[in-house]
Amino acid sequence: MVLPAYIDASTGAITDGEAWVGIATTTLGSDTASITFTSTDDGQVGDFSQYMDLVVITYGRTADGGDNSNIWMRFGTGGGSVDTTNGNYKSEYMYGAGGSATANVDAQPIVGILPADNLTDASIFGSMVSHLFDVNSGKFKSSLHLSACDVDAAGYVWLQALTWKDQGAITSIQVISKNLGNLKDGTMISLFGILPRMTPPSATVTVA
Amino acid sequence: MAVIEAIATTYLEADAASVTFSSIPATYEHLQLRINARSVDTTQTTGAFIYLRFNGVSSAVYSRHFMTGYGTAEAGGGTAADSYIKPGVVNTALDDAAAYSGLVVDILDYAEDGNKNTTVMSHFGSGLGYNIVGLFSSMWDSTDDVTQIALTTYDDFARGSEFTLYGLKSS
Repeated sequence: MVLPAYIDASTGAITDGEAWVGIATTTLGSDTASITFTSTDDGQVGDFSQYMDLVVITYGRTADGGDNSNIWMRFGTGGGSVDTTNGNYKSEYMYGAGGSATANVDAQPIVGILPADNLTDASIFGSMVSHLFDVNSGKFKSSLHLSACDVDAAGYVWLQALTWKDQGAITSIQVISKNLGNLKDGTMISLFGILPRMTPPSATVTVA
Repeated sequence: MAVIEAIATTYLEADAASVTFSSIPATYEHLQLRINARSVDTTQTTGAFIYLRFNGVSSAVYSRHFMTGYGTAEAGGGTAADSYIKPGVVNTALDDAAAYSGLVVDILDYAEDGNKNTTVMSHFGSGLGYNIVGLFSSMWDSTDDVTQIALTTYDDFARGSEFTLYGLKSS
């Protein structure tokens, strides 16, 4: 068995090394409906249960019609499939497009925006950084998502806060277009695990 | 040496008025606070602000600009001189008991012992309860190194709130 890097192989002691651990990267070689990361639940790097937060970095594009697609991020717990009930997700978002800004609430797992296939320039992809907080807690799971893309002379910058109303630990994460068009060939998504401080801190913490 | 190190984590086992990181090592280039928190307050219907001060300084030497989305309303603005930084807003006891808010707070060039002020960039939000997202920029009008970060909120932080301070370095 390969131990996580924060465990000293010779002593078994926990150490504090790199706090960001690369779990997995998927780069699509063909158009694909969705990308799902699932916890390995084996105590190794891919086991989500050892992390405080997770970060998902997406560089993608969809095969939907139009010049952009809203992206869903759906979660699962207990080793089961992802929760596909829209009403279990709530969010607030704001975005800027050209000279206008928009804000609203939503009751589906939208997290941001990526370019879609009607763009004349096929090489345009969009970026999104997603922070998933305290993924192993008994809280509802809160997450923040920043995305941005150009769509041939127009574009978007987008901030969304999504809450999944489930208190189970996150064991799977799915990225999929809201309109169910494929994620395009070349889309790349990386998942990182964010460790807390596990040994005595190197700064003093006072709680009053 | 790691590129990103966790400096300290605290996970509140009881409600608490403040969380303070002090004696912060000057060995990193930037700091990042990752927070998942709520307040026990029952009066703030639009969420409870978090307040941040550096090195115990409470004079009006902090400025900020912000963009927020609150329900269907967008807003932007700024404050030239305030006695704290507001890096974001968290859920309160008015919201579902399991609703906590996430914040990412980047504190740039905090230990540059020279002529630059410390800049803070944060984004935050909750999709449940008060429904706000925001992107904030703040500045501490001081060239001192940051050695202490004190966090408070409107009323106490609720049990279960979590705070981790990370240090970032390139070599």
